Amino acid sequence: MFSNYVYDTHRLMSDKNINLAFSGHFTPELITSMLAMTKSSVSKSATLKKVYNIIIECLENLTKHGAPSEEQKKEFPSIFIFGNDDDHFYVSTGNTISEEEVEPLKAKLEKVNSLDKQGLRAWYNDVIMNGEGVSEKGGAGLGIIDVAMKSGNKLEFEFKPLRPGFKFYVLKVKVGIQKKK
Amino acid sequence: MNDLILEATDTAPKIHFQSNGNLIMDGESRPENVVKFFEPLMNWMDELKSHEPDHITLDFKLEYYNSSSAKFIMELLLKLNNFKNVLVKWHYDEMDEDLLESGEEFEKLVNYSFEFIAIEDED
Repeated sequence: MFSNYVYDTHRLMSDKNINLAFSGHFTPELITSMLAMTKSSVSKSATLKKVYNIIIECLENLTKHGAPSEEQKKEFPSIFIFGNDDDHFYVSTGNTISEEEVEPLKAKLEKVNSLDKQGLRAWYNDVIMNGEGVSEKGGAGLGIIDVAMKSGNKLEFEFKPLRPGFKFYVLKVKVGIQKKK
Repeated sequence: MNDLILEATDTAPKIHFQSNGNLIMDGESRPENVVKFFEPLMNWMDELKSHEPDHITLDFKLEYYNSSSAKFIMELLLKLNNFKNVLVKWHYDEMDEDLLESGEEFEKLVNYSFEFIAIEDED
C-alpha cells in the first residue's frame, strides 16, 4: 500500500539517522542545490567544513561514473545518502560500474585503507606532481585519497552483484564529530 | 598584456590576475569543466612570464577546491617557480585545518615561501 511505503521509508530514514537522500541521475546543477541545503550550517564548525568537502567529492564522483552511457542513465540510478548520529557524519553513495572497473577500483580502495595519514599524503603528493593529467571526465585520481585524508577513518565499500557485466559500488565515508570545547 | 579578470560563479572562483604581478583567486573552485576553466589561466601565466614582472603576489583565497582543481593549482604554483620575488598569501578559515595543511604541503613542493593568514571566524 502507498501509505505503508511512505511510512516504511520514514521509519528507515529515522532509524538510520538519514537527513538527506536522493536517488536518480546526478547532474552538476543538482549538486549545487544539494550543497546549498548543507551550506548554511557549514561555516559554523570545522567538522561541517570537512563533511562539505567530502560530500562534494563524493557527489562529483557520481556525475563522473554514475551512468555508463546516456541511454543507461534511467536504468542505472545512483544514490546519495547523508546522515549522522551523535558521534559521526556519514556520507554514502551507490552507483553502477562495469565489471572491468571493479578490480582497479578495489585495489585503489584497499591501498587507501592500508595507509595512515602520512602515507596518504605522500601518495597524494606523488599523484599531484607526477600523475597523469585530468581525464576527459574531469578526474585527477586524487578524489578518493583526499576523501580518506579528510575522513580520518577507513573507507567502507562493497560491490554488489547487479546483473551480468555490472556491479553496484557502495561507498561509505565516516567523519567523527568534533565536540565543542 | 591584458589583465585576466573573471567574476565568480556558483562553481568557479573570482580570478583577478593583473599583469603587474598581483594575482587573486577567491571563492570556490569546482568548475563543471575543470580543463576549460584552468587552461586560459595557465596560458595567461605563460604570457606573463615573457613580460618578466618584478614580483608575483598570489592572494590565494579559495575556501574550497575540488581534487581536479587541486591538480591545476599545483600546476599554477609550479609555474611560479620560474618567476622572481614570489609570495603566496594563503588565506584560510582559522578552524579549517585541512585547508591550512594543504597549503603547507603545497609550500613543500615549490621553491618560494608562503605566508599563512588565518581568517577569524565571524561568530
